[in-house]
Amino acid sequence: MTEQSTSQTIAVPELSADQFVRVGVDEQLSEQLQRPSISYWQDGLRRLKKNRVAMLSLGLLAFIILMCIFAPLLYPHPFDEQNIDMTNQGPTWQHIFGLDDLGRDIFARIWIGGRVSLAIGVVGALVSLLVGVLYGGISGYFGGLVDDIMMRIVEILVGIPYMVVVIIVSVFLGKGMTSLLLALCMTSWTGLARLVRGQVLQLKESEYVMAAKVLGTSSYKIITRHLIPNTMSLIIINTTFSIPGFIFAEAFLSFLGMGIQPPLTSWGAMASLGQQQMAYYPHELIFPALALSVTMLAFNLLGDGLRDAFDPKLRQ
Amino acid sequence: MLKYILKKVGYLVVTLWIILTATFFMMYTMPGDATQSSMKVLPEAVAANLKAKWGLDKPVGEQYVIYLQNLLQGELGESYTTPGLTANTIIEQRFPASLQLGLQAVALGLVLGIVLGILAALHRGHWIDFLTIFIAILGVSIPSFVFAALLQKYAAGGYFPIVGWVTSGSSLADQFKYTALPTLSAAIGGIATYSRFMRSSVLDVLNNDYILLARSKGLSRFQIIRRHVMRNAITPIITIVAPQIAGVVTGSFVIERMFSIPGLGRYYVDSVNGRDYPMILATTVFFSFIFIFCMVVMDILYALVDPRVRKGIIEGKKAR
Amino acid sequence: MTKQLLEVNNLRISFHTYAGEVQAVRGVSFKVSEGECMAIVGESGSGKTVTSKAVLGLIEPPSGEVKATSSITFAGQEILNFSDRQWRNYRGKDAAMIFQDPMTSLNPTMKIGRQIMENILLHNKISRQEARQRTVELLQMVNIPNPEERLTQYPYEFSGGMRQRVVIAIALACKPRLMIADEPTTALDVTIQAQILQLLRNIQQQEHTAVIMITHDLGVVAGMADFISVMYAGRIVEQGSVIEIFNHPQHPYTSALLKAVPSLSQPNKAPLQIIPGTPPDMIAPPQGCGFASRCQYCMKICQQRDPAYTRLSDTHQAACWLHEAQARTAFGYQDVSEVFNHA
Repeated sequence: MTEQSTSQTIAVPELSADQFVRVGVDEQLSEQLQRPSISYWQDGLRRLKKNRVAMLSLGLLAFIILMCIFAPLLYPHPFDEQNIDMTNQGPTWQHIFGLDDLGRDIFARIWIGGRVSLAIGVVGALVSLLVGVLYGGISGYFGGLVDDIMMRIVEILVGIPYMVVVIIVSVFLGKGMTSLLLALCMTSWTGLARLVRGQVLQLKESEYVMAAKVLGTSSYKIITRHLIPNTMSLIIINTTFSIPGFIFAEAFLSFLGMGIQPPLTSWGAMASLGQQQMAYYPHELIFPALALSVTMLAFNLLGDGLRDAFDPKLRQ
Repeated sequence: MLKYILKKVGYLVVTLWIILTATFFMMYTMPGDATQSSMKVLPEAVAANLKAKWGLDKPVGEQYVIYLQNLLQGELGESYTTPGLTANTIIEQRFPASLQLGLQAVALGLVLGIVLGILAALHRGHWIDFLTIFIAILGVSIPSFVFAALLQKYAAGGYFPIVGWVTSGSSLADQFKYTALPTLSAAIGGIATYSRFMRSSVLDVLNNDYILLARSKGLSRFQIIRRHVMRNAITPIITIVAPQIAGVVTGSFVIERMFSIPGLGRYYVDSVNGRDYPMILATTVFFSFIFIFCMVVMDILYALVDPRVRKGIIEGKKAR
Repeated sequence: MTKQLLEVNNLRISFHTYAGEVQAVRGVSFKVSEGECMAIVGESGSGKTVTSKAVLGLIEPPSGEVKATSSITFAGQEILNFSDRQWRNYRGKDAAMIFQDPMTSLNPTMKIGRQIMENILLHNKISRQEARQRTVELLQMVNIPNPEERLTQYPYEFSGGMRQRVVIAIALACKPRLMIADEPTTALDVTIQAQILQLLRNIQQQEHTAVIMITHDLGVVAGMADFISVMYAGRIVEQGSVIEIFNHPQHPYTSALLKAVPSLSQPNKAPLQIIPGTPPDMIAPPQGCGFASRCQYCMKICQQRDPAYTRLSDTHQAACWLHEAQARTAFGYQDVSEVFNHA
């Protein structure tokens, strides 16, 4: 490292003396070099918006919901109107999805049935969300003996096959929407409760929450800054997936004749009727089945999109 | 380990007892005189016999005790609507068909699901990956009854009969002919779930450092997959097989009805619709037992297969 | 002179992510001779791990890309042109790697013995019995007590330090000529760190293995390495022997790194030196010197153009505009070390 060795430096012609002026550490500049920082939710939303499949599903769901609300109001045929002389007629301009075995307009019935199916899906998911989050939150927050007892109870509940519960409750309370919802809610919240409890426990022990505590952050801030953002995404994703779960369960039970009872209808109930006519009048099964499947598909794809966008484990 | 198994069996008994008790009292308190009135179809003597054996004219507490005693002796109940028909006979007659359908569906779902999932994960972006994603998403979006109806309409009628089932004496060709479509219908949900799960499980494993280490040893792609990926990726599937079995049971209610299969699921639905209370109770208990039993077996199996889980159990419940 | 084993020339590696192309390594060159230990030092994200993975061909397309201009030769052979089969023969046999976190680098569901034997059986035509014997020897070599028993245990039955010994045993299994250790002690307790380093040093001397040691800890380097390459923002900013780097750092980043190491000889309440700012984003690497934005000697030229290497001795070179004659006349110094104020 003598001077001699340094002298044979890079000979670049256009170097001028004024380039050798000290600039010093420019804090401003070194921070500016970073990518603009975006918040967790902004980033998630941006990812979601970029996901074409998820956005398409969202649009489809919006369309289905709007149709369920407005189509029965605007469509000329009420869902329980019978055209005895035209039973089992296929799609025509007048009855675009055709008529069923009692001569009722399938297009009209699909949106009424959709109201029931979607209502069960949404209400069921919300109830199990509420119960699951509260139960899991309390269990995880208190820990110790409370947690032990509460989780034992969950473990027992998880062991009960939900279809059996639904059937027993509907035998007990009579078939229909209420008993269906009640039975579905009784068994469905356990998954979310476990998830939330796990998250709360993990966060309670996590180093960054510990650090926040040591730095004197208030519990309110810890909950709003760390707990909610970290569990929220999981809860949203879980709920998006549980809506189609409820719709599915309703469809199965109605298909078996244990769910929605006439004169009210649902997609599952319509599919059940349609299945009996399948051999000769397939349109009576295909349209309700299509409505059901497209809705399920949209919810599942949206759920996938949400998970890809918001799941902390999958990000990066 | 033994302690763990005993604990799990303990849960099984407690859960079963809760279901049984709840169902028993719900059936007892059915509105009106429904319970007894359904017996009117029975001949006088049979009804009297039933009443005496099950203590039906005694207070509910005693009835419950009598029921438990009979249950412990292996007697599940007797029909109120068909003279002389016991739940035991029904289960003996009807369960084999349900079991065969269930096992075939789970097996088909597992095999296809695992193969598709692994292939998809190893060929990300390839057509097989898209096919798997497509099957996975359709499988969870189309209810099995729709799938079954489509199969009946478009695939059955020629070689495959639309309805019917086999007996243990049927030829292999008949076995295939009669069970293929119902099995496929019941398996579709499983194929979807398992392939999706397998795909992400394999991708998960591939991201691990030990795969990098295996590559740095100079193992070929095939050797890495066989020795290091497969076991680690397949083991966790055990955790979702148990709840899936519930899906097969429930699915079988529908499939058995659609294909007129003389299974227990169909009988269960019929007895619910016919309000034959002892049979509802008996089949509920039986189904619950099967379900919980599968869950327990899977839990134990998982512990045996994965040394990490085994360690967690031995060290205490820390790793739950 | 010892024989040259590995030569890396103008290595460029990019990762294609949804946010754009991340230029993780931007023109890295270095040489390693047989029996020699070269340390690559740098903070996280400087590209040191990526460089080492490239030497074993572990950069995976489609997201990772080794640019066509790059060249890596091992014992005279260009390895970037290797076929799959050649790679497999080379990995594990000629060159082996030790990973950072021993808790995750062993297969949790495979017995330790099998994980080691797997490597031996792959590259040697010997019986299982012989392989087993060799495995026991290896475990003895890395100081694992009761090797016979340990063979049949699963990784979870080992502590972190023990697992790292197993990983080292796997790396040693076929007596490789080159061993790459990627932060082998970072995940371990301090006391265990010293043991593992000692072990590596002994093995290196015994087996005459060349070692590339990746680390961010200068303390690790001091006891182990013959030469040091300092990496920053995907480039090597300074290269030299241990003595040259420690005693006469010729790049402001090296100097800052050395000052950031707390020392017992410092006065009691002397503030710990830090390097302000953060490394640049490699999606849009800066036009000039990568370190410019954090350098307290930064000049205008540094923000405009990347400095070339200045050869300071046979083994020592640095890339910094401060070595330019015009800079020396402008600020009036003879040797760059005067500027850094090293004693």
